[in-house]
Amino acid sequence: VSTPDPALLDTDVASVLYRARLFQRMAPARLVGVVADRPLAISVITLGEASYGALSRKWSVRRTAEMLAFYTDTYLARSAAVVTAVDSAGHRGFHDGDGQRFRWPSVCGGGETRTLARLLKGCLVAATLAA
Amino acid sequence: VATAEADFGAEPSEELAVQRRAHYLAQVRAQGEHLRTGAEILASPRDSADPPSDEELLAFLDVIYDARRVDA
Repeated sequence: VSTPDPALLDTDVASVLYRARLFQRMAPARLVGVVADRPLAISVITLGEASYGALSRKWSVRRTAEMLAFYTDTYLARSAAVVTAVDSAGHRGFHDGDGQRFRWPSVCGGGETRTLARLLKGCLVAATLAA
Repeated sequence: VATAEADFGAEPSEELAVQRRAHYLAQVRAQGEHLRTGAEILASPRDSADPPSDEELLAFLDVIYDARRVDA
């Protein structure tokens, strides 16, 4: 049996899964059908958005750390990406590992994950709520 | 933007994409790591000592959506 292609989640899907797990709720069936058997990953963009959301809502250090730990442990986001995302969340822009600078709303707006999947040159399959 | 288009603009062929996905998974395995599936994530126990309320989590998402709209 071959492993299904891995999926790169956008922030919305990652958040739906985070919320469903946190509150032990059912995720939308259509979404589960897409992600249930796929190995899942997220991008530094999603980490940046999550960091920005936590900072803006003035989450406690513990709550923020737990949320980011869930994202990084669950999706194997690399620690360097986390540091970059958190450091840059305040001004909403960051660099990728090669020094390419992204201003994340321009990447996220209207098709973040598809854009990133293309940037990754087909490394991952994009999974979005619209999938 | 021009640099990004020059570097990343070409869509990969499906054959190349399959190779890259396989390479990515092989790299993860070689590092002794395991990418979790959606089913595994949803089945994992809740372990937060300071979880946000459902309302706070929705407010958290609203902040992100608002920022996207402002910067779009």
